[in-house]
Amino acid sequence: MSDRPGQKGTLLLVASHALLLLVSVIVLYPVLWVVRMALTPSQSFAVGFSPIPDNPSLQNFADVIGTTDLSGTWIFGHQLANSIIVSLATAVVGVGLATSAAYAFSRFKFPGKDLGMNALLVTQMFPGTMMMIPLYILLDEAGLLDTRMGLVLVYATTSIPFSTWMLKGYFDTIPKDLEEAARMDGASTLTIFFSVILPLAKPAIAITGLFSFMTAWNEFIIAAKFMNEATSYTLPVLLQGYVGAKSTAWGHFAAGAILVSTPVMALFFFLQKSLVEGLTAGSVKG
Amino acid sequence: MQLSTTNKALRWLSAMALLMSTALSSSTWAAQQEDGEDPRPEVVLWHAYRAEEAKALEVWAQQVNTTEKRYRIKVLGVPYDAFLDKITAAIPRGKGPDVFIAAHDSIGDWAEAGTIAPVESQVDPGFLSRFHDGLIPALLYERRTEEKPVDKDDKHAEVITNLRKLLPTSKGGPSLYGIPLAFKSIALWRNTKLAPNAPSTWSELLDVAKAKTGDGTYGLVYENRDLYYHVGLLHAFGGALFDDNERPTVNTPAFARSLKFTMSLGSEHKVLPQEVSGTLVSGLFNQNKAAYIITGPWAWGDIDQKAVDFAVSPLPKVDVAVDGEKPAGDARMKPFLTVEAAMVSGRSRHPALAVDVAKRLAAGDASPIRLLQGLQPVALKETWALLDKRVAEGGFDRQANFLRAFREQLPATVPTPNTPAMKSMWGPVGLAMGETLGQGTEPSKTLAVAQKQLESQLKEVARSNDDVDPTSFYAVITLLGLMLIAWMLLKMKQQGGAKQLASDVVEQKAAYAYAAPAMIGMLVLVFVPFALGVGMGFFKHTWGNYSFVGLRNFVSILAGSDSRFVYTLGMTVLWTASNVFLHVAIGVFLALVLSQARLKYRTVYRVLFIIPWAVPNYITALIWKGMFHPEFGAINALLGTDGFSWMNHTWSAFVANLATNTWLGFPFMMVTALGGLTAIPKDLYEAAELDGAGPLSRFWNITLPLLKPTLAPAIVLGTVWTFNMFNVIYLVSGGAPGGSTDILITEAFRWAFERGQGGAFGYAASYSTLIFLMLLSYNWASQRVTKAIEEGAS
Repeated sequence: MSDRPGQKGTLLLVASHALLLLVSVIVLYPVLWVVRMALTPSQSFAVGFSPIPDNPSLQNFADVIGTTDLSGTWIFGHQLANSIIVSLATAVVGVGLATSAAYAFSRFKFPGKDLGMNALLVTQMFPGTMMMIPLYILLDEAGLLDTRMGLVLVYATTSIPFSTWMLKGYFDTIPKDLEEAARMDGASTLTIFFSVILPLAKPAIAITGLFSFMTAWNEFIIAAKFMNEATSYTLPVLLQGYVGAKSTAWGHFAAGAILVSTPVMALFFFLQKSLVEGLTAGSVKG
Repeated sequence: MQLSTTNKALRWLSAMALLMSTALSSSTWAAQQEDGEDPRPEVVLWHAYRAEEAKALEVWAQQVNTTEKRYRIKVLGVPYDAFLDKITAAIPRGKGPDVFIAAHDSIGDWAEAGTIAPVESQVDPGFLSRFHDGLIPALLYERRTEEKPVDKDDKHAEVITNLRKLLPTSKGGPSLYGIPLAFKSIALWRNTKLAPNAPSTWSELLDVAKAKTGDGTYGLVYENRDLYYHVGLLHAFGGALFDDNERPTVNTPAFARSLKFTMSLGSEHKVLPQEVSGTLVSGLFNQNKAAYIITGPWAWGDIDQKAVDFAVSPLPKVDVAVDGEKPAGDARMKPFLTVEAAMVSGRSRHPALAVDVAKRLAAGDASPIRLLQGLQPVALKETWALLDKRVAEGGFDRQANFLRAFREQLPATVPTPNTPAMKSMWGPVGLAMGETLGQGTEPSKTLAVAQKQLESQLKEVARSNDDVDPTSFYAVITLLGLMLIAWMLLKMKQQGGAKQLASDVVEQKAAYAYAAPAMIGMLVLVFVPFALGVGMGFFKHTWGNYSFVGLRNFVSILAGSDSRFVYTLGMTVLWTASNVFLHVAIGVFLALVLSQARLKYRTVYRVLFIIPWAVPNYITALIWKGMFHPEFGAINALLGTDGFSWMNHTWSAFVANLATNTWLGFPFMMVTALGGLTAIPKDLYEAAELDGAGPLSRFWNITLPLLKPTLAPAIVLGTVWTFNMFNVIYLVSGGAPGGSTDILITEAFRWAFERGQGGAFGYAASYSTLIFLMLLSYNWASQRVTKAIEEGAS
């Protein structure tokens, strides 16, 4: 019935595609500029209307990927590895802590619950730049300055508020009968958590995982200020290194930006399934 | 079945934990290998160089490390944006470098704070004369906080005497805080095909420039709205930024005339394009569409050597009449001089070695490398003799001409002052110039406004703390404390009293166990810095010293004579509301379109639409800014509104910001909505359709309410993030015109860095606290409203 094709249905689809194509053009145009500058073997900002490069070359990409210091250490490789490790760790730690907290906020009623939720929200309101120096001192005292662990902890706490709120909201939509049924079968809280709740919350976990990953992946200021070795930096620091006080190496900067964006796109591609194929039609939710 | 899933999960988790702790614990792999055997102490050198300069530095360091027995040098490059803050944060904690390279204009701050150490006691009298004239004075500074001891050591006394001659207004004797490495100023670059000869006067320049302007080519391209690039002209017209008592005086006839001259370049002679940015300068030059440009040696790396034939020469004299009279006297352009120096950390563990490294960098084997490989105009005079030899070897003509031009310009330069008054200058004068050159407002008017702003800022700096009344501060703190206690008691009563509260807590301990890890992390890493940040707002930060001022910062910001707080708050609210509305509407709409059952290529579209979120917003924001350029931008080309300046009107600058931020922000809402739509069971739609509900009704009564739990956090947090969205406003409109599109967070930034006093971190902290309070009240109010609606509905 609702699947019956017909004039109206086809018209809707055609209109949808037209709209989506328009949005795609708007989305892609500025990015094509970045691609153009990345493929043009010059370091100045591209001027003009057409986003198509004149003499495309991969030199900028080669330069960026091949960044090494004089003793032969592959700087790019180190920084890429650091970025991957730190971002994945942030995603795991961030999602782990947030899921646990969200479960508490969703399933239990306890003193301080509202306060806790609001406190999470409140932390997002303070402009981050003012916290830089106190954070620096704090991490230094804890011996975590210039360590990946320190970065992960800072990034994870940045992503926790959104993740917790999101997961809590999603958990709220999962009916309690499932848990009660499992509990009557004798399952412990931990088992319920892993076997019942988490699989049902896959879309929310995918969102928060992606979000936590990106919080860490794109962050530059804290990485540049807290790490003291070129081999400890993350990729965004390399990227920002192309921006000087009065001039920017646009070719390298653009190539670096493309390189930095690609893993995120890949990650999203892999997470897509979890994101969208949450439940099958209503059977569980009925 | 359930058990194995749990076991699998637990096993997977422990594997991850093990993997992570290994990966996270080793700090670096390479460093561990190197540090093993070398017994020489390490001298750490930080810099913010890029490209050739960075490479030259590393080449030199490597050479030193193979032959030097007393130490080895470890070089670290830091991105410029983070460099100054990193130095300021790291050195006091003992985590900084032993020696670093920076421009001279920050030495005042650093000297007062003890971040850098004076070096005059470790140089011979003759040493300093090996450098070009005019460089050493830029590196002299006299601390206000201590008496300079008179050393009886002969050598030291002679150096001090020489230094005192260079800085005659000093009381006890200035100290030298860096050893000069290179000097940088602007000069005139020309496209040799379009302009074969170096002009010695502006009339010559204008003749050629006018002849060459047309058909997309411009005779002259330089950043005319930037004070740094304008100072040369100001001095040519006999003007100055400060009077003899070092007070800023910008509302002078000379300044007004110099601005009229600049205006004429665009309006009368028409040789200059609109809204020139640094990127436009090199962009047009590379396309052979600019006959002359004015910029500094930093632009070398931006120029496409193969595409453009060019040469550099000193800036021409101003012999053009403005208001009927030509500039008197010398009329040479005297731009600002930046001296790059090697500075020694005040907390270095090897101060003698650090000074040695600094000296080598400046006057030893590093100088030729920096000149010939790094293409730096080096400070040491004798190195330049090597230039002729290198030119004779061939293939270095353009580079030599480039370097020599800046050396020729050197005598006609003025070091950028490192006083607090100078730091305050950029903001107000920038606004004045922007308005004059952008909107054509009479220069004397805009300069008068700037002068007033400068005077009020200086009054603020000089204001003593004697009138700080701690009573009001204590009163407010006590009041807040009482309110907090009252609120806690009320909450306790709501929970049924203290005893009930205690038993509830014990009963629900599982919940606390689940929530604890996240909450503890937040407490330590967010709340504590947050509290410290708020505390900073009660202090005034001047020259490395914090002094308590109670509530005075807040009063200044809210009720000061040049306070724009209410206007900026209104602009911020408008900004936030329009953005969130658009992001959510577009995001949800696209999510719905993409969720249609029969839509093909869904995956493709979804991944495509993630792109604005994935690409670093720093670069895309700048591209958007480029798209809004009046002459070269894509937006005007698309809309056919060629020449319309988006940044000249508040509404259009706002639209530019809005468009950019919407482009950046809708993917996040779309992804969230996509996830949230999965929580809605399909049978509800089917049932509704059977009942005869149309698509709009289905959306309103099913989709929207069931999407709310997932969407609500995104909206609430999205509101907070948009409220504090710094990048887009700063990079796209820059607050233009005249600060009218600034939001609270960019205003806070300007208070911190553009109101002088060597970094008004106290002000920035107070401003940030106010921003926080605004958001807090909004949140509280909206929660009340939501509750009321829900209670009313049920």
